[in-house]
Amino acid sequence: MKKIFFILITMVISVSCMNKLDLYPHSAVAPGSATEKDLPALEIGMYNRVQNNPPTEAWILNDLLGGTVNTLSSNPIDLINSILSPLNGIVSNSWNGYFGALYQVNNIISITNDFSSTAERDRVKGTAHYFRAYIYYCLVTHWGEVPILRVNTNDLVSRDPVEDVWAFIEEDLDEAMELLGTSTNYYYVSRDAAIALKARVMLSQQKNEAAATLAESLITSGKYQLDAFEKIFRKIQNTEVIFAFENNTEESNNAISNLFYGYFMPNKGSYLYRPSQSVLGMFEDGDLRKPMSLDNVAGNDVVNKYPGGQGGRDPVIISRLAELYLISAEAKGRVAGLSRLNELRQKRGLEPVNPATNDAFLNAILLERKRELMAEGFMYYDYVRTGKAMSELGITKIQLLLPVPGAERRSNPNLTQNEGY
Amino acid sequence: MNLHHFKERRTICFVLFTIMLLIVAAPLQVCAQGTGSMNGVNKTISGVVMDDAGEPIIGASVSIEGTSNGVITNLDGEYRLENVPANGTLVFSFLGMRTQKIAVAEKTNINVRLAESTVNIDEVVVIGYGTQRRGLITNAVSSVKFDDSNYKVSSLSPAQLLQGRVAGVNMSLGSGNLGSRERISIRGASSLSASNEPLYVVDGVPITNSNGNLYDFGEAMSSLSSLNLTDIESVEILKDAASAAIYGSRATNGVILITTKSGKEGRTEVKVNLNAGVSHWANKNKVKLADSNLYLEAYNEGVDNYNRQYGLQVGDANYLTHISNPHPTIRDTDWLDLITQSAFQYNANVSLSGGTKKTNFYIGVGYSDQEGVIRTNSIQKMTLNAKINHEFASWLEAGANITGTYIKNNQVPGANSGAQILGRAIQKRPFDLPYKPNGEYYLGGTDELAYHNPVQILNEETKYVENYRYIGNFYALLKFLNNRLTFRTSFYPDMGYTYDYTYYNENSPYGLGVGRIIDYNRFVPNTTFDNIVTYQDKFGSLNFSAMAGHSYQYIKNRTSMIDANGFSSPAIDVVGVAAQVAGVNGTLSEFAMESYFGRVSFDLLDRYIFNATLRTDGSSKFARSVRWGVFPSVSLGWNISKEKFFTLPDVDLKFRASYGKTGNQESIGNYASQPQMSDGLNYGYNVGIGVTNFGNEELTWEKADQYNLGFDLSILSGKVNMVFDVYQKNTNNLLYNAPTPATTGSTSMTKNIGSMRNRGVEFTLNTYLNLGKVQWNSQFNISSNKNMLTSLLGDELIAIGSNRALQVGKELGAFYLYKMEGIYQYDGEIPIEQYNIGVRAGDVKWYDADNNGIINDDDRVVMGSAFPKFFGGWNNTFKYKDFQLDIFFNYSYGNKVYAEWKTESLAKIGYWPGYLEDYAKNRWTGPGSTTKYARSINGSALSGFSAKNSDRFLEDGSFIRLQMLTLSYNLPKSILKPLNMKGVRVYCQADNLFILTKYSGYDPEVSRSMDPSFFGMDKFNIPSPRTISLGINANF
Repeated sequence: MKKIFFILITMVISVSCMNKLDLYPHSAVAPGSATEKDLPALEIGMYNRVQNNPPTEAWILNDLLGGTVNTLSSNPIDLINSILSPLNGIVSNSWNGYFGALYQVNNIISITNDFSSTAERDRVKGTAHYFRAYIYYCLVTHWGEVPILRVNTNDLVSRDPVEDVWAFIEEDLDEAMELLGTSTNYYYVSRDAAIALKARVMLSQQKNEAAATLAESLITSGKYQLDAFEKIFRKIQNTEVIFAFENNTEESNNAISNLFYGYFMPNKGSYLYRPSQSVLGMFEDGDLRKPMSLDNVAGNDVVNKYPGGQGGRDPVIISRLAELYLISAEAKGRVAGLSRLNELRQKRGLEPVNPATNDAFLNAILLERKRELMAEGFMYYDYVRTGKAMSELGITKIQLLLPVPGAERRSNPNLTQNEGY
Repeated sequence: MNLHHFKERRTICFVLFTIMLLIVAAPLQVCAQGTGSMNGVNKTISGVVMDDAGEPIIGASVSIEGTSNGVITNLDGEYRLENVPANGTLVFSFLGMRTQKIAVAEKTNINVRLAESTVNIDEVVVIGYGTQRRGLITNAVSSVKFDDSNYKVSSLSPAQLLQGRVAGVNMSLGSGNLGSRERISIRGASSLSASNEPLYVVDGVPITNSNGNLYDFGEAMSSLSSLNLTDIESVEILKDAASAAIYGSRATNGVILITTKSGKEGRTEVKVNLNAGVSHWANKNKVKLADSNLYLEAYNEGVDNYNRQYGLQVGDANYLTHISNPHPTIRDTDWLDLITQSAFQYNANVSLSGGTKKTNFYIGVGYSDQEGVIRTNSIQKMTLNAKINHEFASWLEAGANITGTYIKNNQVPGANSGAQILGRAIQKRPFDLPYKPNGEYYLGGTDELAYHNPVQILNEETKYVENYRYIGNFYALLKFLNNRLTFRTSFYPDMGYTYDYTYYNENSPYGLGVGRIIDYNRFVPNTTFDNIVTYQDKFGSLNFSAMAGHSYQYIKNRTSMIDANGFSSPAIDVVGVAAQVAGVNGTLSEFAMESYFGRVSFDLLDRYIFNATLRTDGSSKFARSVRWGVFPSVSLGWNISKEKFFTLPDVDLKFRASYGKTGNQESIGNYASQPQMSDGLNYGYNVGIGVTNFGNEELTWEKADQYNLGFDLSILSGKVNMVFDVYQKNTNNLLYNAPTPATTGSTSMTKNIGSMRNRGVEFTLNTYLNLGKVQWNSQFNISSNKNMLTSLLGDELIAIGSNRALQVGKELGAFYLYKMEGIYQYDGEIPIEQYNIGVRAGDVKWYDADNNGIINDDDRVVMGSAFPKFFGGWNNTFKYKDFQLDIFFNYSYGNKVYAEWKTESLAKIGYWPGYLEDYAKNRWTGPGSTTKYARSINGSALSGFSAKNSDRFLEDGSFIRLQMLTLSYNLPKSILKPLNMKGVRVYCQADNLFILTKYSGYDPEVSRSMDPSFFGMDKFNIPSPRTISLGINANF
């Protein structure tokens, strides 16, 4: 009996399959195994993450908060008040998305730091520095003080002073400008893209001279010309865009167009945001930008810059030449800058203007920015940086910055909250 | 009740039934045996075994005590047993009946009546990897046998059958939609993670239980709804760790063992069950909405308040104007009427079974066609089951059990969908219409209709999920040493194939104007290979048994998906001809587990019982160094009533004590421990890679220690039975996808984060009493479970979702909400911080914890839990002659429900969509008008200030529901005998006749999330319908 028993026990144990417990994913590999051969794929993955990690609303947050759009049966101030809360999903998802993208970017900077300089490595590293600067620009202009992360960390980090963040952005852009050259097309980051972003960064800090110089260097380079909205916003090859995310339908979850179009239109959409009253009335007669900016279908006003509707996606423009005209004009001031403003107006089918005072000039610049860049993610911060947000938007001083998301502060007690939230 | 006659249920289609009757009217062979005479010391005894109603019992066992000599009663309940010693004792037993012993003495003819008993100490109970006599059970195992009287004919999943039937087991459905996913909680929630489901084992097969659907349609589908319910004989619930620990690493949330029917020796049976019913939504008018006049009055007041608040005059850009009824001559639309229907259902089942001493077989066929109360919701289900086993030699038995099922679920958008059907109907303004005068739909997201048009949604979307499932069980059993030593080798294939089809045609809002199809496939092969040795022996009055086994399970999950658009017309409905492919996806994921396990049992004189088990599991989910987990258990029992000093007559009393350790790993991804860089992060049509999973190599087993103490008491010869248990379950190393700061690059990470305790008591009382001519059987159960988080990383409160929290000392997923302190009556009371963002008199005054004037995240308060303080069920059976009435209640007390459906729009007075009548009618209109309801103020943001996630919408979800009422009639023998039928039962069953609750929504027993941390959220979930059905069970 004992014999049989042991034979059976042996049978039981002999079917052991311990090595069958080592199972690995089929669509992924372990990090740390990246080699120089992987650089192109890592670079593409980084574009994908920076394009997709920030939520759709993050790209137009400055419009949602900037009075250019509102929701059904209410006014812009109502939308602003509802977004500016530590529990608001748009606020927290934007914060989370920027840091999620930053993780991938920092990962690539770390990897490329280990490789010696080649054309490819420099392009990838330069692109990463550009993206990091862009991410920090979005962070600092919305939240003010934010933690500066040069490398990825699991530490409970603290916020760094605003000046340090700006300095960090400039440092990254200088690094990018040094490493980058031209790109195959404007859906990839180039040295010019870094220059364009730096012009914006300088203007934001009121380093006007530098901003104007950088902007002029692109305007006068001969590589770019102002072009028609019919091309720029319908994904037709044009001479104006300096850098845009291509945002192909199959590769993207960044569906700005879905927010602006409605089910009453052929391309469909959830029509969450519609142009505000002030935007509907802002175009002068003959403004060539209007048809591509606004539309009215069956009595419903819609923003018309992203024609993809519910199912399609459209490029998300980060820098185009018109912004640099406006940067140059604003940075140079009324006397020296007016010509750039009027050149742009002329190209858009409008008569020249001649503001009498510096403040009138600034107002003219801001109005022109609104007409030109509406729904491209500019207005809120434009009003904030020019000190006009409270009067233009009817917001309080507190609302000049976004709240740090409540969930983030819960998991990291070292993060302070912005005043008033 | 004649359980033995009609072990099944289901019926319908009376026509079909009549035809069957005609076919089978030809006499079936009945073998009756005469009674013989006796001679010598040993004699022949004969007689009839009947139940307490006097109906013969077929297949009852009659044996001579202490010997293996025994027979089974025939079709007329008769037996004849030879060679019975005059000093012997006959033992009469039958499943579900109380065993009787009668001394032979002078008698030659012994007729007995067996009393019904659900707690039978000789009953065989299925336990993990084996069976055990009820009398030797030392842990908390509940067993439910299903027969006609307790079978709910409209059920789709086995979980639904258990609702309210078992102490400590709480069952809830996502909604009243057909096939909605269920949540079974056994002794509270033991894990933090979404998977808090027990392990289901069907005839030994540990089955997979991922969602039945693939493309999210706002509601998960139960994968168990594809199982064949009519073939279920019993369900055993392993509640404590000592019983469940034999399933080791997946047993923390309990184990549900489902045993299907088998053929019985000497009982050739054909059973036909047919039923037809109709469901409707009984309390459709419970939620009262403002009519056009009230709506307009409240809305326009909100407009005035807005203009006044911002000092807006006619002509200002932001000045808002009044609205009026655009269709003043048309009556308000009854939107609910447009989306609901009277739902018909038909169910038919046939089973054929029989057996000899060496061979048993069972064949079952079932078909169901059910409609849901929401238009277009329906289910078709087909089940096939074949079971056979044969003894090839005295040492070899082998068998196979094959189940094939098919279910097709035509889904409607559920509560988590943007087009969720009930919400989109109710939230309409009272004068909104579905169709324009020209016959086109009014479209959602316009000034005409704020939300989707639900009529358009139902008409223009086609969504169905098909599940094909094959569960097999193939085994060989080798027997040695007079069956004392056995070796069983089993192979269990469980193959699930799912096809999920979604077609938004060109007229659907999601159809992109050109039609969009999402075509989704999944194949989940799950194979288990078990080898088990058992040994049992007897040393004097010590019985010993031991079991040792090895198991290897491998599960693969393969999916493929195509998302394409561009179809020339709605009639073109396959994905292959699409103009454009917008997305493709294909995944493959694997899981493997290897286990060794064993059990030893001793009992001395049937009085002192000892059971111990040990299991060790190795899981592919964990890194090598922490891969193996060990799960022991031990339990003791003392049948004190068998002691000599115990002299109380007709009393059985047993004490039980147990301890065990179980684990959980279901809640974590197959590769959660491994950091990963994934492909598929593409840009510019080039392949990109990036980090997609941070990995946590320190992840390890979540383990629970559970202690159980209890007793089983039976008095008055089994007429009154009680089961009592107290337990404590401590779960440690809770696995959780815990929030992390976004600055780490991810907002969550799977970690072992803390511990939790569940403590509770359970009590079951079953009585079998005669009230004059009426037999009254009652089964009552009540349980109470207290859940508490005992530690968390850092012990800080973790806010989860939008209104829940994890906090030490509180229940898992306690509500975390703002607290209302009243209504601001004057602007002067309002802190400047709130005034500045538009708060005015008439808005809600929220509790300001830090008293800084700002209402933010820090002002929320942890309050209340979705878990009940106690819950249970009460079934009553009244039998009078051939009539039987079954009344079954279930109840729950102290569970909170969050009425999320109010916050989106209905309670925001002044916002665009429709209003709840009480909120609109009682709105604040000036100082002193109300301290409960807010003012009307235009827009979502301002009216939303008063509709924050708060205690305003947290409600008492206690209820008592008349779950089932069944009246049945058994045709008398005198009619059946000439037809050669063993039994015919006709019945009428009503489900959900009423519910008593204070909850203001339709049904407190639904939830849009089945995750215990987010349970109890009603967001316009479809309530359980009322179903009335008629049926017939025939047994040939």
